[in-house]
Amino acid sequence: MSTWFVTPAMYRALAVIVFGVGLGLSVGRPDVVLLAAPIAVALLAALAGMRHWPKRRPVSDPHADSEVGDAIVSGSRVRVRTTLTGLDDAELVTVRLPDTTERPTGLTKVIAGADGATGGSKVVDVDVDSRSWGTTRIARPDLLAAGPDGLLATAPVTGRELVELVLPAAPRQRPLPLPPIDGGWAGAHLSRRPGQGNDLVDLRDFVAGDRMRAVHWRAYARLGKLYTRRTLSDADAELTLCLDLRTNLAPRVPPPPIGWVNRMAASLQETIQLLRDRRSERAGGPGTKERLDARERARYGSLDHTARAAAAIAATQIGAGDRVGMLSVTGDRRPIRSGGGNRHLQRIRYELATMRVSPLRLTPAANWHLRPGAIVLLLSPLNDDDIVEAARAVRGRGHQLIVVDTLPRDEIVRAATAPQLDHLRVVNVQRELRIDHLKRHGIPVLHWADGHIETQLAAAIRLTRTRR
Amino acid sequence: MSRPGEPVRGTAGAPPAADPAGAERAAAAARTVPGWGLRGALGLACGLLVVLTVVTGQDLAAVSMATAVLVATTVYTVAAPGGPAAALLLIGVMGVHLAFGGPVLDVRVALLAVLMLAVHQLAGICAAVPVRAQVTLQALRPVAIRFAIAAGAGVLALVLVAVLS
Repeated sequence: MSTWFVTPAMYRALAVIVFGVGLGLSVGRPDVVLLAAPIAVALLAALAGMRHWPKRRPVSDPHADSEVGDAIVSGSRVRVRTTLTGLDDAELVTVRLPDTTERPTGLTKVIAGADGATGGSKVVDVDVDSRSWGTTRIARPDLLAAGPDGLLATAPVTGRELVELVLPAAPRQRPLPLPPIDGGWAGAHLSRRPGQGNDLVDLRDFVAGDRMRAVHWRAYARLGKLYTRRTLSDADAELTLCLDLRTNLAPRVPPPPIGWVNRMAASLQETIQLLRDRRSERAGGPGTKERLDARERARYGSLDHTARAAAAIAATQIGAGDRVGMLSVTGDRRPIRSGGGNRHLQRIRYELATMRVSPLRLTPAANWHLRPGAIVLLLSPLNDDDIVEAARAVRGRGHQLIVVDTLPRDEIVRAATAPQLDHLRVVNVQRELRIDHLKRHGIPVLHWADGHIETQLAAAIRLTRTRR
Repeated sequence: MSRPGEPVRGTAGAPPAADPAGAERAAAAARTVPGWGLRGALGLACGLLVVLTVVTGQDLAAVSMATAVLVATTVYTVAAPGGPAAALLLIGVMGVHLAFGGPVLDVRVALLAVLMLAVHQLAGICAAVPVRAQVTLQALRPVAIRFAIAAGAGVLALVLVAVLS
């Protein structure tokens, strides 16, 4: 129950009235009395407007709750509804609303109290751009209510935190151009097995029993003899996403300003930036949303890249008809068996949204329980030799393996301080050696931060064929 | 099957809910003034109050002293409207008016009375409104109505007293 208290405004009004009337009457100056008259009328009007005054103090208990209507996906805009109740005695309600694109530092709004028609409650809707993923605090609607003219007020009321699970975005890209697959059946990929498909191998003489639609009519027109097309069967692929969650390597985030001078300077800088954004938007350029999105992208760590890469690859390959499974290389999470369809994709995204940095050590590749013939995509920042050995072990067990490097190396270097750069150079050289080692063993390494991994994979496969 | 780049079906965020019936009401509620604007208005009202109070003074030393004290109180009032400075300012204005001005009921006194009310109400609101907040104009309507009633009543009383005396 919040406590209403009388503010200094009430005591001020009484003091001014008493002083003005007393002084004016004592010295015989009606003008001094009349100076205090409007304040006396306003005080009476304010007290008359209170529902429970002067019989007793306000009894309502203002509080606020926020909610979102649907599942939140990173990168989408979501409507947050804040319901304020117990506003019977409030005339001004100050409520803290979640951050919006228009006001990235958070919005504090003062709204009118409830009238009789709204039954003591109010609803405030705010559209929020969700940029993060995982368990995220969306809003905490703290509020402060005041009576007429601020004569009465409540103590600040802490709102209930709205914490929601934000699923990582799953933008579909071009499907990965996978090498020919040994197994599989009726999918979007090439296989090495003869059968019905679109990939023409050669022509053979027509024999009784061949389907007429397999006849190569152009060869017949040219040679006057029936030939039958021989093709390779199409195949679907089974992909297993192996996530390396042992570390989260992220760019350095500048510390928040300390002291009121620095905070004011930062606030002023942000205001100037907002004005620049507006000017840029008017000129048709990028605005606040684009700037904030870019700032958020520059702060992604390897865990962010892992989640986004896994979600995007899963969405793309499931959309192409493949089956996708997922596991953690530390074995601390239950693996998701291969499957397809939107429900399965939703399951993968939910699992990604709940993942954390794992404190456990790398599990030997033999214990990853990879299905025979599965194509393995290993998502890792490649920051130690253990993961390279694990990759070689997977390859040695006969799996097609693709490594996706999830380290945001450029952003880390860009945000690093001068003393950190020397250390980063050494780490980078070690990583390059590991990547070269993998490539020498025929394992393509794709860099998620560079974008267009399907193009990178096609180039890597071409390179492998050339070497052969 | 959706094309590359399209959001996955059934996983998009909640679309903004349309509310055509309340669009007009929402537009009216969307009109806001910043919290620092109210502080500016409070400062302006205090400044005018100080000027109108000391303008009748004859003794330069007394006027300077009164101005210095009232300006200092004004600054304190704008910086901390929830503190005692606003009460000190209003009482100080009445004291200085008593010392400098004669028992004349003129337009200046009417303006002083209205400005004192404005300072009192603005200080009360500013104490409850953070500087960075956005205040909907709808929330200020009851205060404005009370201001109009009280100012009108005060001016009417002043006119009546002037006529009767």
